[in-house]
Amino acid sequence: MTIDLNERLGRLADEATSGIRLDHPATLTDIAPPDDGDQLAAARRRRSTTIALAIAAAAAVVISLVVLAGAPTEVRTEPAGPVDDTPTARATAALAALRTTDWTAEFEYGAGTVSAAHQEPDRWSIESDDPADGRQLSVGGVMYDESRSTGDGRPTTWTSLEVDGLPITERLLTYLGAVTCWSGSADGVLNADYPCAGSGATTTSAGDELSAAAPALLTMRLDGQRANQIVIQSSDPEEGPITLTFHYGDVPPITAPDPALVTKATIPDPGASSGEVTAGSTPPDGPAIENG
Amino acid sequence: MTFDEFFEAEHDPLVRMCWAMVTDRELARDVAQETMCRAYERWDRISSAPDARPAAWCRTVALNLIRSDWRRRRTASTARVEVVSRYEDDPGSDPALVSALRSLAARQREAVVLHHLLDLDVAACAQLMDVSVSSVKAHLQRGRAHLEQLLGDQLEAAEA
Repeated sequence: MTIDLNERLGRLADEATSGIRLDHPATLTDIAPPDDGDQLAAARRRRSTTIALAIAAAAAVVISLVVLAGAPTEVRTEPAGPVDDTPTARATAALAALRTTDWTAEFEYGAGTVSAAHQEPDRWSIESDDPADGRQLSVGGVMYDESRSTGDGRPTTWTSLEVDGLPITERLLTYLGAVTCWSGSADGVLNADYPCAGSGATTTSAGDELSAAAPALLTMRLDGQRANQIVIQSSDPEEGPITLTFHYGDVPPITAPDPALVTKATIPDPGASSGEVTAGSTPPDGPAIENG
Repeated sequence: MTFDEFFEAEHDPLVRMCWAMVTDRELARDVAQETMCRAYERWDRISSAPDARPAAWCRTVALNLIRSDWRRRRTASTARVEVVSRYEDDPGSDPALVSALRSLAARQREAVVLHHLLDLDVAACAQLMDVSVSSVKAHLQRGRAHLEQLLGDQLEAAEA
């Protein structure tokens, strides 16, 4: 029997949502009307919230770095002044954010989706909606083992075979190192609040993961808030490092960190294992639409 | 277009999309309400740009809210069944389809809802999901195959 999914789904949605009537925002007392003065006030509120979150995030970074594994980690707060916007500094800050708790990142390889999520300080979970991809899953040279498979179409969960999650962090770091605008929030999730646009390019030695047959488009999403399209310009390991280009266009934005709140920690040199950033950011290539 | 006109025009489609994504009336209402409030606060900006697409903006915001909620709950609990059960609601007159929708992977569900409920073509779906057109087609194909398997029916593969 052939059914019309559009019609059946539409009928079901109509039935399920009948009687739902949203309040007009103008009738809600805590919603600012969209005039200039109130927009400024709303913006100030949002900025205050973001600053508060950033302060909390910086504190969380410091705490987590001190606590993590008792490793000899030196933490210092960067003095106020011009932000160090070098790729290494961005990568350093990105790694610090990734060492905090409760973040997720999602990668899409063509039709497949792989998402990584922090669970414990030394354990990450990997999910793939393509079991065929998942069984071969290797991120940053770390093989991941299937720990749960529902077998009913839901994503399969994979858990690192290694206790130390640093390799995947380094892999994520490779991508994040070229991101020019982002911020951490209190729960360690990389967040998007203000419009920011730009583009950049980085080189990674991820030849073992991205073969010549790999799809030409890789998308990275951070906690569902921001997607970076990464075009693989050269995916042949025989030809040397793969060049990944990050495009920022008509997608939700990522916030530039407040220079006064940047916390810097001493970490392994990201370039040693994950490639060298060959080109920094370039001027924005178009207006970004603010994400709500 | 004024916000009032936009609110009336997009009210039902937004609520329907949110419900199809979470199959929970209350959660769908909360997400749609939050989305409309954000649109209201930013109306001047999102409606005045030369290429302004406030409806697409709202859908993106709603999808982001839903994804964030999924992820927050997923990382907060190691028991997946608890997460899934949070999204249960009265299955209504078509419990088979509700159950099948719930069993779809998140991205497959997004593709199916955007394409088959909102009647968006795959290019528009790709833009909203921020993936390639081929990726949307793959998600649609897998999603429909999964629905077909569960529903025991053949789905019309009408694809824009």
